[in-house]
Amino acid sequence: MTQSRDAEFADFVATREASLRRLAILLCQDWHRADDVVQVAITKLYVHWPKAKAADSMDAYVRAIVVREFLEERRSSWIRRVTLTSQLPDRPAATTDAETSLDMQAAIAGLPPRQRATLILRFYCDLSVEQAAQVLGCTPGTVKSQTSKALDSLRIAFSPNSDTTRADATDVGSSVAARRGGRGEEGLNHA
Amino acid sequence: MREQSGDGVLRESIGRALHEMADKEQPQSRVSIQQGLRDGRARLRRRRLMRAAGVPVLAAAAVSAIAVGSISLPLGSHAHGPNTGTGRHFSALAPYATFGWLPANEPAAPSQQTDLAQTNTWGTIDANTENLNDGPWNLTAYAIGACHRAGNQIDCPNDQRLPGQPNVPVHPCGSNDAEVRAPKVNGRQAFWEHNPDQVTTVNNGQGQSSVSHMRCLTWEYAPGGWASLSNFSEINPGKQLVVRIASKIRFGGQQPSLRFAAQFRNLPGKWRVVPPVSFYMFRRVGHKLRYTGVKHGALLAEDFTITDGATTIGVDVNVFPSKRSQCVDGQPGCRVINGYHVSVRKVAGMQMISAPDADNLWVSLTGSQQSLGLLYRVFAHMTMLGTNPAAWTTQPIATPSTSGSPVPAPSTSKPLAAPSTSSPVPAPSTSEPLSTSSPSTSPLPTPSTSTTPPASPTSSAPA
Repeated sequence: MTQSRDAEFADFVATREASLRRLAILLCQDWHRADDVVQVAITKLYVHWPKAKAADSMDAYVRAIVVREFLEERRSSWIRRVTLTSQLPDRPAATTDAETSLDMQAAIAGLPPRQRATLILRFYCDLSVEQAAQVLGCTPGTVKSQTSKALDSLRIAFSPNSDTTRADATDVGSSVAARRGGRGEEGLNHA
Repeated sequence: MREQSGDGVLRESIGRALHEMADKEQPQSRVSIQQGLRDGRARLRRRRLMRAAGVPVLAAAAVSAIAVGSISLPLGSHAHGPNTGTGRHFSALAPYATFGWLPANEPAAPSQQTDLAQTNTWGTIDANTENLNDGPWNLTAYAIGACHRAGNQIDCPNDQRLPGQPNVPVHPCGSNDAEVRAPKVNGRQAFWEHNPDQVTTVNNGQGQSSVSHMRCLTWEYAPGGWASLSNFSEINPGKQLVVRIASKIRFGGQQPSLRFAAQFRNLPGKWRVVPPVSFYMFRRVGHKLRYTGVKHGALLAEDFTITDGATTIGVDVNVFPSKRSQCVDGQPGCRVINGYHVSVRKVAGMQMISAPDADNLWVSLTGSQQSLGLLYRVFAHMTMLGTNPAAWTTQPIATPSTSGSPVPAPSTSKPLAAPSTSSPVPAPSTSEPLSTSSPSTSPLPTPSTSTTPPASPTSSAPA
């Protein structure tokens, strides 16, 4: 039985690895960290393999593991250990390039993790509010508020009247949160 | 972009930017399916261990620690055993076995990993190496008398079964297949699992396949004591190699005790450390701690369990704190106890309180959902001993001396320089036990609610 599980698991991960890494790099903004998140996620997938197989969508199941691992990673002793030797993050630097898309990428990278995760689930994975809420382990209302805050942050960042320049784009999340006097991440349940 | 408005356009821009980011050329992946298999198996084993002992699984968060050269892991010992030092019950305060020899590229490798956990009657050690294609050598040992042989069949207790499952004996290698005779190991009988050349074919997603080999040897390491050694890797481990490694595994003997980076002082009741416990080797390099691959280090118990007989609490001490606590005294779910910012959360149906930066240690206590009050009171008796192995103690639960002397100071003996002769868990106090049901009547003092910040948080930078 173990061998069957191993083979199925290996087959599944091999065919999904690239897409999982793409999701992880969007979340982490750092390839080393992204690979670490995927590595931990597939380990968890192995542990929960029977449950994953019974899920309506294994892809959705493993995607949820990746997102939650990203959000929870600071509590993970494994991450605390392995990051000791990790290299400097290759997080994209703020750019003054006129290319809007690059500005947007930098701005998204600067969002707080949960807001970024929400945007990725909604606009990259094309999940509905309810589906995103399931992945994040929170209520649909929280997804809406997180999305709204993230959009506000980006809107302000790209507003002609904003004092947040493109070069400041990576700090957009914190700057908006600071203006609002809020924490910007409240309301999410930890799964 | 700046002149555009409207959520539709903004959302479209976000989606486009995300896809562009995701579609960039990917660097070579560091993700290893084999590593996932190995870590997953190790995690399942640890869960079974925890279930067997009735301990919160959370307290045994999956770990892999860089540790130990070929000779540094102390051997297990227990006072009840015969001359070999191995016993009918493993001690909570000492590992029971160690690899004495591993293939040439493995011993003393700085990144060699071990993952150890044990209960009263059985335990496992995984020894990983730098080579990710070289699977872990997994040792599982049962206490003397735990297993029974009938013909070529060796049946061991299935104490890792889930609640409600029948108690069907298991084979040390994980199957109930009849074994094939193997060369004797140190003069004692040994068997291969039914199919010693078992292979698993893996599709790597690029039209290629890799093959993983599983080989498992079971042998009697002492009269009535059985162990198994298995390997799962892409390189077929020769039978001779497996037998050689098995023959060098050492069981029992005089061993250094585990060190603990936290000490519970003056806990009322008969609290003691019980298996399961997980431990790792550390060494101080400069001002920092490292999982060490050299033989001199401190064997730190990171995940262990304490009980007063009625209540079980999982203790997780990590020497690499994540970040400064965001917890502010007075906030819901936050309080300051002994100067440590402690936050509370529920995870997987368990109650956990944790201090992310307690004297440069991350510590948590985990118990049942009804145990929050008890966790706070127990935490109030906990003293963190910092990250200097020399300050770690061999007595995680210190009771007031009968002579009236103060609580014992943390051990300052040189860790692991020589086998320790320190005593096991001190005799339990006879004072009133802690109560989970009526915290208001607990003899323990109410935790301090001072707002004093944690002492000397120096090395943990905010994430």
